[in-house]
Amino acid sequence: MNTDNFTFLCRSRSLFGKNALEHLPFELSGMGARKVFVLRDNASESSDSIRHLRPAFADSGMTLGLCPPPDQNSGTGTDILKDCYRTFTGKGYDSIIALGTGPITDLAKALNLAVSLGPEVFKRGIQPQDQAKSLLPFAYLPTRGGSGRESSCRACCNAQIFELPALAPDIVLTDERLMAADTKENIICSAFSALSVCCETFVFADNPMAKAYASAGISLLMEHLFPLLETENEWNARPAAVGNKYRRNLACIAHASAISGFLLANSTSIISFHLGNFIAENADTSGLTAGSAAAIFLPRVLEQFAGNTPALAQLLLPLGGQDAFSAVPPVQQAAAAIHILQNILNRFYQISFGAVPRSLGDAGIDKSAVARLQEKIQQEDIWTETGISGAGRDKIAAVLLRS
Amino acid sequence: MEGFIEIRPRRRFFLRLYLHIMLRVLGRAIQAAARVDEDVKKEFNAMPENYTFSLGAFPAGPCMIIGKDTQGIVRYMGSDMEKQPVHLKITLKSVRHFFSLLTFTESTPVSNARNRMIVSGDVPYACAAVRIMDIVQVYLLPRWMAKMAIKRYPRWTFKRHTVDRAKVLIRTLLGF
Repeated sequence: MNTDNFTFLCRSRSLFGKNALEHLPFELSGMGARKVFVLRDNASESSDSIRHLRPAFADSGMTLGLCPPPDQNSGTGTDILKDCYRTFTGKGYDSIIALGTGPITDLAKALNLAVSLGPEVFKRGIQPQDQAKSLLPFAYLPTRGGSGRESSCRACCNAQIFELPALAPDIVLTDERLMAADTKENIICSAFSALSVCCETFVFADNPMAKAYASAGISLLMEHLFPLLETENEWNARPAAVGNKYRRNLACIAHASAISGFLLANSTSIISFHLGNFIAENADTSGLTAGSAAAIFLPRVLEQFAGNTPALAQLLLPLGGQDAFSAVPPVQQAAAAIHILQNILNRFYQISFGAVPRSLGDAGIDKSAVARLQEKIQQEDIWTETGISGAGRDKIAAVLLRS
Repeated sequence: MEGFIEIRPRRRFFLRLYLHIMLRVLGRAIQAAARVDEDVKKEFNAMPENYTFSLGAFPAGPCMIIGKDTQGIVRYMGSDMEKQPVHLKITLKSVRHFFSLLTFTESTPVSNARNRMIVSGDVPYACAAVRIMDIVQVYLLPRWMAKMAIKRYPRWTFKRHTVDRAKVLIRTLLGF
């Protein structure tokens, strides 16, 4: 472990647990907020989260502005953003809450950029002088697992990508009362994305703080993912009735996903995560989500890039727990860690009756398709972003073939 | 924007009324216990003269102020923070958390562990104030309820459980 030189920035305050929602007015008012603009998605409607949000702000002296969830008839993303911008500035709001995951957090981040740096930021892009500017207080309240990008410092708006440290939420609040029933595919996608980011960071990052975050994320996933999905008998049944146990486990997955966002904000070279997203976007198969693809690549990426290093051996500790770690001899720990990761995939393949793929072949991607994807990957510039050189690209080719 | 709603979350009258009543009783009981109980006396003796502390909820929730004057007499000083300078503020982050604390669904240590409290002032005196409140809660509440409010029910002498408790309760009712 190199502890001589490292940087880790996590701008978000994480609030988690029972009645955590009631802390929100205090935390926001500490940032000078008085009027809060709430953006919410359809999942927040189904979880009835506003019913919990309103009493949490009672006696706080703060005003809440509730936007309706955007639907198909709301027009394009630009129209919604313009509408939100007009309302926000017209009524004098001073802080933002994103209640939901995915596109709603991108909308909240874009709105924060527009109201803090001016709407012209979408034309001129983010300039070097903007790096030092602070944005308005922004809280992210997940209602589902999420993709991990919600808590990162990246926003995607109308195919434009904005990256700014201040874009990361100031508060990430996970309260189990806000959790909505989700499909098993979405839960697995969230969990696998987070697992890929956390495992890769744990193994490759020469950064003790990133390792600590990654270890916490892996432990949360290993403890709560199987109880969340194995309690249901029928894989194809509709989303489970939202009981307290379900909400608790889902909140832990959402928290792990938020941790993966903090790690994404500090590292660009998460190979399996980027590879998973690339394959999910470019492969001619509908059943493969970015998270599942990332999880397929994860054991192979670790094998190819980490080999039998001590860092990979240490991954067994958060993955398998203290008992497993102490039971396996040090020379076998790296192989045992890979084995656990592969077993997770195999187990989900079994309980999902084949819906969650174990390999690219299970997802309907044959060898010729892999060769085509391989060519496409070599042409793409995602590897410039991840900082992978020529030798690394050869290893990626091997990862694809072995997956 | 269609469907946009602006709401100003209301104040919860009955919840605040309950907290006002509880704080008044607790304040008077602390004043009474400071005259009867040796442990409470010791805690107040360690505090400087004219020292005041408050327990309340953020941002403008009900609160109580307890102070020690120059003669070392402990008094319940009401709830007006503007009239009375306060040296130590113990604040719960929301009225709901304060309600949980004073309905004994969450004990003081649990509330502290869940990061519900903030202290502005001297931490040693804040710990003393919490110890005083724990003792007073044992005097005021029946055993089963006091067990929920504090971390560990104390082993007191028979006199303390009966005679001292009666004295504290009478003094609390009469307000001296």
